[in-house]
Amino acid sequence: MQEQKQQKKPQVAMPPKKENDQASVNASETKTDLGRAMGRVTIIHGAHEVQYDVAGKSVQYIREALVDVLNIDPQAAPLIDGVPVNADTVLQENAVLEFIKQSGTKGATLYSIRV
Amino acid sequence: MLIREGDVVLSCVDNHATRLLISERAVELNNVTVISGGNEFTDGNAQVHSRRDGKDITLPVANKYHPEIMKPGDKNPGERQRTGGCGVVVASSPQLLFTNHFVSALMLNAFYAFTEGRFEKEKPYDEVYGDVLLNKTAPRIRS
Repeated sequence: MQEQKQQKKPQVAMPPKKENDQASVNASETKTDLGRAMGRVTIIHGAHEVQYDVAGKSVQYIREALVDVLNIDPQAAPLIDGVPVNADTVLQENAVLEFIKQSGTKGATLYSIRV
Repeated sequence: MLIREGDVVLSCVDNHATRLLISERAVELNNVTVISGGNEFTDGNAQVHSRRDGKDITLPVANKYHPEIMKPGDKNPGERQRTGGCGVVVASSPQLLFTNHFVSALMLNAFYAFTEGRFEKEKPYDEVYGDVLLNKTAPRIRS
């Protein structure tokens, strides 16, 4: 029984180390506002990845707060820990929120290689 | 058919409608690899669809995470009135050579990983984002 209980225990992944990238440097004011909430959350959009103490806030709140910092497309669908969620979903501590960035549009030519 | 069993396709097209066509053809095959790149001005991504023995090792290029490809708002060059693609958008939305090179590198990295057998059974990533200004890449596993 104890083993079964242990197996059901949810695994909480530790968030990756906070980055010192351009987004976090430019987000000092936003970070202050968001920092009033408790609990760290990782927020991803494309290659951007930042961490803020925004657990307890909704997806929509974070989208609006970071729309300029991460250049989030209004159509970018949100995922929490890889699962699609709606705008009202509240973030838990250690969650990973990703706004899915659309694929780039442009390219050049189509090549096909026979192997 | 241009794309056949066993092919490796490096898709560098300039519109989502053609990406959808390629993706739809790929899922008809048993063994195929599609590496699809695209970029905006300073960022872009490369998607890798590896299909072996009729099963998707990684996600098709057109997948639920990319509705812009599932239901493209543009048209492929074969259609009469072209509404999308570099020829149309380049005037209002120019491209940056550095970004083109960055995304091509993402694609070639994926191709090399393919030649090393990395996409045969395991799943290194479904797509990888790249940003020139951050000088950063971010692989994502979605499936």
